[in-house]
Amino acid sequence: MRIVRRFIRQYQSFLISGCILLFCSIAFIVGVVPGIQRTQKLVAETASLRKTVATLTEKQRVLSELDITMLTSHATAAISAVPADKSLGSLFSTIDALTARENVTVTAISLGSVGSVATDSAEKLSTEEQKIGVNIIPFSIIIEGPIERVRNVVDSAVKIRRFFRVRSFDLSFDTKSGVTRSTLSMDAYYVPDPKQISKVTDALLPLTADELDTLEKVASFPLLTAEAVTPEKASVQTEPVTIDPFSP
Amino acid sequence: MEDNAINLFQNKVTYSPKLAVIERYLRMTRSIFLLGVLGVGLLTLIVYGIFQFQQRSLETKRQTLYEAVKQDVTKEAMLIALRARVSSLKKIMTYQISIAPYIDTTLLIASPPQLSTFSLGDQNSIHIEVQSETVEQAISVVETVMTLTEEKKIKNPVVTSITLDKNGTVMMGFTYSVVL
Repeated sequence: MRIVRRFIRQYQSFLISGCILLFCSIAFIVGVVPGIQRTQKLVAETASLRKTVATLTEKQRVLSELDITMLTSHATAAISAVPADKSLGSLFSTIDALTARENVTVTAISLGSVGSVATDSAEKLSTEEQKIGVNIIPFSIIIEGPIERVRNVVDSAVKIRRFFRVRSFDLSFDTKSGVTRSTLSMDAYYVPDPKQISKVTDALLPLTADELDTLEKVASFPLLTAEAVTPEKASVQTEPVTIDPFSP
Repeated sequence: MEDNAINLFQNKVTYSPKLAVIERYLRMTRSIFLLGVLGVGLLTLIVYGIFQFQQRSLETKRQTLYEAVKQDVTKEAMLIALRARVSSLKKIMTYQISIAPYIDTTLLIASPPQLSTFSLGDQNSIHIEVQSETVEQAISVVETVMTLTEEKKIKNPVVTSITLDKNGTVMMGFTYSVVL
């Protein structure tokens, strides 16, 4: 015992230093290192949160500046050009109005694809559809009328607000009856609305000048059918379906 | 009563010179360590506190913005749907080409009833059949085709068929491409 006391007395300073160093090491390992790690995590979380807040602020600004009337007008124009579904009614009525305007007679109209009457889930996108990224309804019409008027029909067909494309054109003149008969293979288009919208925390940019130009151009095309189009908002799922980790 | 006790032990421990140096360095080291741990700990605590405060403040702001944005979800849905549709519209518009110029150019060669058939096929190649009542008319059609080729309105003209029937009617088939 005496030896121990003598040792302690002799090396008191070393022992105190040792204890302090041991305490510091334990404090560093147990307290400081986890504290730094927690702080680093907090800094990263704050940075992420700051980014989210900036995105939401920008998004709110964009949304507050959006004019719902203008949006509806653009959406109506866009959806009348390329509907969200096959809208065969508007297809037929547009062809009818187009040919009536040019005073030619449609003697036959037929859908060229079996899939045209199938449901969306039953359809397989063709290579061309995959390339353009839209759904195509191929159809053909037979028109009787002077070539000059038929020419106006094919010219107007790509300048109206139900988008068509003339894939091929065949004309024949019957010398006996004196009738010019034209067969037009055409494509109509439709694009289903997005099934879901993005997360609330996703960035939202306003329409660019280029996009607005396109919409203006589309709106400037004449709408030949008076058939009511479904406003886009009616078919869009408005509730976000993705779970936001920050949501309350 | 006066204390006459004498402390025979040395008050200060003396070390050998080597141990004294080590002891001095050890004192210094422990001070540095102590100050370091306390300093770093305190700094970490301050930084943590600042960011904790910031995070709470940002969280409150985020909640407010979240609610505001959720109220405009219809607008957002319309904008997203519209943007997707505009992208499709632009792609479709690049594929929409009027074939009227092809018909216009063909009408320069012949028009019904002289133009019996007209066919616009793949890669915008045109095949026509022209019926002429006389050989002179047929020659005139060929000359028109040649003139249009020289004027670079059509290219690669090919006469695919010539038929002369007993009535003297000439049926000629042409294939060509229109230069737009």
